[in-house]
Amino acid sequence: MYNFYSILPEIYILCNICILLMYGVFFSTFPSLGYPLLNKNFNLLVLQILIFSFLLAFSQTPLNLLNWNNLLISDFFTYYAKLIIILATIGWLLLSFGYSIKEKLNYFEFWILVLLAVVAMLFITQAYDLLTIYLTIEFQSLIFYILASIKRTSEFSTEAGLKYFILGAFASAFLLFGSSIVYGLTGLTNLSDLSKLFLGLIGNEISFNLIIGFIFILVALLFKLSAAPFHVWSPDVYEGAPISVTAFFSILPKLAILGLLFRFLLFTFYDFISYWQSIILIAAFLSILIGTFGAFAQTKWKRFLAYSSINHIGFFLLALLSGDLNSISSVIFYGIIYIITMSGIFAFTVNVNFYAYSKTYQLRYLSNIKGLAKTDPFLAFALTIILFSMAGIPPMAGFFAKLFVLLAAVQVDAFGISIFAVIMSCIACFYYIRLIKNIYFDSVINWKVMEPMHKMSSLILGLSLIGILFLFIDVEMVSIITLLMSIPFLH
Amino acid sequence: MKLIFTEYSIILIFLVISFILSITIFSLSYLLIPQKADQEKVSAYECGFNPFDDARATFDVRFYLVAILFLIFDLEISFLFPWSLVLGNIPLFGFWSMIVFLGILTIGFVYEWYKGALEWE
Repeated sequence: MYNFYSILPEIYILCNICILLMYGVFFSTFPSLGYPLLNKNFNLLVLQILIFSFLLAFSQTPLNLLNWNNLLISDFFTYYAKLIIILATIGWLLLSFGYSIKEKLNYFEFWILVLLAVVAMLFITQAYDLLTIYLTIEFQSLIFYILASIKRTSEFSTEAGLKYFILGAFASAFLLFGSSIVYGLTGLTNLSDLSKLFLGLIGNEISFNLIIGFIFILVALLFKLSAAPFHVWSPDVYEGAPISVTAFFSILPKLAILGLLFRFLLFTFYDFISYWQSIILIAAFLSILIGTFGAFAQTKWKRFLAYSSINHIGFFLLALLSGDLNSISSVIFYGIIYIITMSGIFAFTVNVNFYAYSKTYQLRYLSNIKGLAKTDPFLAFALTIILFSMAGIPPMAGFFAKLFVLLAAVQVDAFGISIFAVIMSCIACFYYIRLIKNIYFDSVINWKVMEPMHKMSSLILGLSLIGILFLFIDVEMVSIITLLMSIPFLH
Repeated sequence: MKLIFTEYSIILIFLVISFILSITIFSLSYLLIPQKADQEKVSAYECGFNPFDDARATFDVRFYLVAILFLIFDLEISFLFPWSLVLGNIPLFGFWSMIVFLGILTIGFVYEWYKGALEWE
């Protein structure tokens, strides 16, 4: 019976997806009702489903067990990761509330795909077998390809979807190939069986071949995380997709895949640490380098945020280097802060629209925010706080996230990469502060008129602002959760 | 070792019979029927459009739709056959998981029906 208990929220969401699909397809093709648009209904229904599934997940007891024939695992990490993912999805839903109606994304399938993506991410956090890892990642990626090209009439959107599909299919093939090598050499697919087998296997002749398979899987996971040598898809996909989908891509899947990476690196392949440490080191180094210098050249918000998130991924990987309790909890802490900050900045970028007489246009270029301090001082202040947090200025949450990551790295004597990361985040400060200069000090000739923001997204902006500003009062509250989440990965 | 061979021998017999059967049918149809070749008959057959044409022509998406639908229901059949063979041996859970699978498949079918994916014109 624990089998069903452990995946109750997922079952609940899946049942609701079936009902919603029937509801949507019956009503949207109903001639006597005039083929109604179900966008608003679906928005609210999906919100309700997510809230109920959050309550379901919240009222469960965190169990430590393997279930579904050892294909899935549930422990403290999956318990809290589920809660965080569902909460982040609720936040994303609220911030894209006005956008989908304004931009006429009138496909009710969009919301069903979003729910399916949530289910996929919940399963990714629980995957405990090479088979389930492949299946869940593929499940999530397939939905993401469709989401990227959801705006069928836009060339940019279809281009983004196609690029994402081709590159993502390559990464999935790598994952499958690596898994098949590992399976072929060991005959095992379960992560805990593999970790038991690997005890003392180093130096054996089999271990060299295993490392090849392992590297293939690692490359695929780093690709899905958009870490640096495999990041090339992310700015293009981020730019082409509709911006609410961009927000979805950048807020949600990182934590789930990061959890998978933990399980994979720190649990199963922990004995190969001397091999993967250098790979992760290079990936972290390149991510921070490319994330920082790539963001310099950008003039558009979406690409800018894509490079900024590559930079953040570099910090995730930097803390993963040592693989002890401190580092895991610091990565999860960084992940939570990342979700909060990204929700805030996307609540801004998704919802800002300017009047240019007779019609409105979206926020697209970084220079669009010139003179924002005069047109909307509160919004300008909020954006300033979020940008400061992303740059890592002390009282904001972003500073603590970077601090813990660097502390964890310094504790294992990774001084070189730590100093490099500090220098790079100093350089990154430049372009965040350049934006703030744009907001406050640049003079503009043509003053812009802004549309008022949607109520729900301003709620999310406010919540994320509270999170960023007042986290330093009670860092313990978050770090207790992150510690609990990191315990299951200890070897 | 003996046991394995007896199991595989059935497959061997199956392969041989199917090989003979296909050769017989093919050769009979080649030998017995009158053959009057014309251009349409001997040219390569492509479903729905000319085999030799400009490659940049728009390709109707409905072909893909039909192919995908066929794939899903074909897989369903290949899933149902082994299930129906071992139905007596599996517990109730196996029965109900297939029912759930069929239910989800039906929902997908109803969806595509109402979306008009099955209408050719």
